[in-house]
Amino acid sequence: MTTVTSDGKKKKSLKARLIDQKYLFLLMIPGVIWVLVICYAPMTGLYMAFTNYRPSQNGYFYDLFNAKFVGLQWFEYFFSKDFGMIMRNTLATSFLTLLFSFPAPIILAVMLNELRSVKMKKFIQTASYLPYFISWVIAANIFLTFLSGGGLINDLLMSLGLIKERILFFQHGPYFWWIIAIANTWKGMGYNAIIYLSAISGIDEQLYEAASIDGASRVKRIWHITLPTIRPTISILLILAIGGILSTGFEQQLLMGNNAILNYSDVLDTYAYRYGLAKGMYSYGTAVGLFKSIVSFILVMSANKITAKLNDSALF
Amino acid sequence: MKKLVGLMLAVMMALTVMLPITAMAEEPVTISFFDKNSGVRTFDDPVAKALEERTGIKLALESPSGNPGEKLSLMLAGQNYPDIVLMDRGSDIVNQYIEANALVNLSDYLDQMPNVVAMYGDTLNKTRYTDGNNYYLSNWYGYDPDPVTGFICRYDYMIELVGQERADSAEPFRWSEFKALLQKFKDTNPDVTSPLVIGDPGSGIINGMFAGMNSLYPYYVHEGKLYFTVRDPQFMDAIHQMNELYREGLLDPEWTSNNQELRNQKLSNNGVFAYGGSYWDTWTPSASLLASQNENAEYLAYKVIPDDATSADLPLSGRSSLGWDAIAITKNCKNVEAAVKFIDYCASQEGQDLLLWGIEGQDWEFVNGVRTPIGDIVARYQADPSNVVDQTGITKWTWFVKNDVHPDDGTTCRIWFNEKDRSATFAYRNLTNGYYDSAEFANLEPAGSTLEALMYQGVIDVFDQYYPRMVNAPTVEQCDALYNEMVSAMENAGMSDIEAYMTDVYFARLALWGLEPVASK
Repeated sequence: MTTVTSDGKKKKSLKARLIDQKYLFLLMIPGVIWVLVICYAPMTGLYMAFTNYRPSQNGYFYDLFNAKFVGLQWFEYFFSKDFGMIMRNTLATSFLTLLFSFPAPIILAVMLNELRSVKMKKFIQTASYLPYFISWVIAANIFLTFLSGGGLINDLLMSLGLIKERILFFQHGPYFWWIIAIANTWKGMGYNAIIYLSAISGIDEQLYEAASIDGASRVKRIWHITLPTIRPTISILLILAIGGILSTGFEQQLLMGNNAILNYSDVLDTYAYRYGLAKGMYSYGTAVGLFKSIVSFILVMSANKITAKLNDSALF
Repeated sequence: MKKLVGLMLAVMMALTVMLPITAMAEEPVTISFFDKNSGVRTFDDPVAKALEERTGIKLALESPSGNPGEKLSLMLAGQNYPDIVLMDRGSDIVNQYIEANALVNLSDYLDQMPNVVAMYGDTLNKTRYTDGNNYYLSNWYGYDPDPVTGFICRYDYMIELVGQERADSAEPFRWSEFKALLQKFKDTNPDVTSPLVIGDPGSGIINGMFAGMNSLYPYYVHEGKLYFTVRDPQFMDAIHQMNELYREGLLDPEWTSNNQELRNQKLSNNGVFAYGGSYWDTWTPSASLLASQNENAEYLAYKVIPDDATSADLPLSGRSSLGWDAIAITKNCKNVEAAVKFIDYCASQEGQDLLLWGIEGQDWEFVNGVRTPIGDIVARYQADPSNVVDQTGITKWTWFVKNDVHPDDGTTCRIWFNEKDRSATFAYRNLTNGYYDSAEFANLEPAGSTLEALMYQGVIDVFDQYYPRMVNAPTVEQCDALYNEMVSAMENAGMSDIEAYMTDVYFARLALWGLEPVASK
């Protein structure tokens, strides 16, 4: 059976199209299986958040679906105990990270784009990209050493006469939020700048030439050509950043935090890890993780909606 | 001809079918083993090969990649643990495995493990679970003659401050005497910010020396009930002692944020007089100082006792005679008999000598009935411990270790400790009778996915947050105010309920072991 489309062409039926494209569908099967098995099947484990899961010898699925159903008990415990402190730490670290790490790669990319010396451009790009490949174990030790009482930063501030007593950065909770934000920015700035650089490389050179002829200065060309053109990329990365606002980090907090500032360093991920994995409270850890996923999903959808209204461009 | 070809084919087919059977019959049994301590080591050294030959069992070692506790927890959740698991006995992971019915009841196999029964003795009684059965065997069990914690002081500075004779004396320092030494060191080195460095206290406890000097045990037992240590009347004495050091600039202000690298860095510089912790923690910085400074620039162990102590034999910290690790056979093990045979050999005296002394005739020999290292093996170890351990395999696999001397010749259980260097000599001489057996306090906490376990962790979290804040408080009044705040927060987190729970577990355990509380006040 065929139908006629608006442009007058005959459109084949769904069945006929499926038969025509059978090889493409066959090629798709591994991908679909992969998504189902790797992405969706593990989601059955979310049911654990509503049960009192205890592993036994009967197999994972048997234990999961025969565990005692406890409803929202774990969520209620979380909200009644540590929710306030954990959310405060998570949001404070995230907003500070967003404040630094969102504009930093844009500024870096624009500045790199304006550099005349190709050698210098490549050097800065490589140097700023390198921290992305350093593991958090090493990065955390670098920060711990540099910011220790006898570390480089204290030595520098003392020799410049900016401070009279050494600052114990890892003994004061609020400092920790700033340290994490700066560390996150330092580590991710170079990587994110590449995405913006690739967007900038797609800008038509004629636009810059025309603006130069019209007498536009370098700053004006950045403001009126570069930034508006990469706006869709900025929007998409902003949506992703907002979606990940509750994923403020895990290894960095775990490696750089200490008990003296635990009430400032403990965030959703470290909390779920400490209770869920380290202490074997699987159901409670899953409940905390599920809460985070739900809030992140709502945040992504909201950011996407707002961006679509403001910019005419959105992720989906 | 056809018949002949058919016959040949039939014979070939029969041989083909039988070959794997023959091969299978000859192939040794393979046992998978997760060792949380194995790190990146491979099971291919002379000791490993000898162990496989002697037991006829091939070992598939599973090493932890990342955090072993996390790996054990994940294996339990997915029920994909190997045949044998070695886990941290002090952690609640052991109880989680037992409660998940993941471990084989070893009590049913004790008649097949004569060496285990002979070597472990009363330890088997003490490692029974609440149902009276043994589900694991301890590692590093028995009363360890190796000393533990003390104040490990720079020997060259000690000589400068108190003179050679006192520095070499075995007489303990009184607390006020030791504090005066810290002050004197600071006065003569005004730029120094941390005369005393201490180690990470761990979770739920305060640093050992300060707990010990104030007779604090892991829990406070009083009138038939067990409480968290914060209820002990002497708890604040220990905190005040530390707070005083902090306020007077004698305690490293970054004591809570030192990781091992930072701590070693500080100890390797010239600004530290003493380290409070285990004497072996200072070996790396001492090696660096001896190479770069002078022959006396080394950390050596000294005992410090309270001013009012009547005896120098005061125990200053706890150490469990039930060992550091638990080794168990899991229900995933298809050949429990083979695993039992392997364990019994490792636990035997012959197995222990293989693991901790090496191969007889190659690494050591009997000379006049006494175990004696062959050649320069101990000297080579002292010069380059990690490489010699890796190459020889001696003490590379520390399983079912009994902390004891050999009953026949009095030599130590590990070959390396047969000859002591200056650091060990000082520690063994000065820190004698330095610890009590904390076995009865281990694993009392509620484990697994229960509300009690959640509450317990909440209580510990509060303690962990407040302990450094109390020590670092700018005044005694603020220190006391923080204490009151902490106790109130711990109460809100459910401290009393948890104490009631743990009291039941504690006294049921003592009844099972047939013991009286060791530390009731």
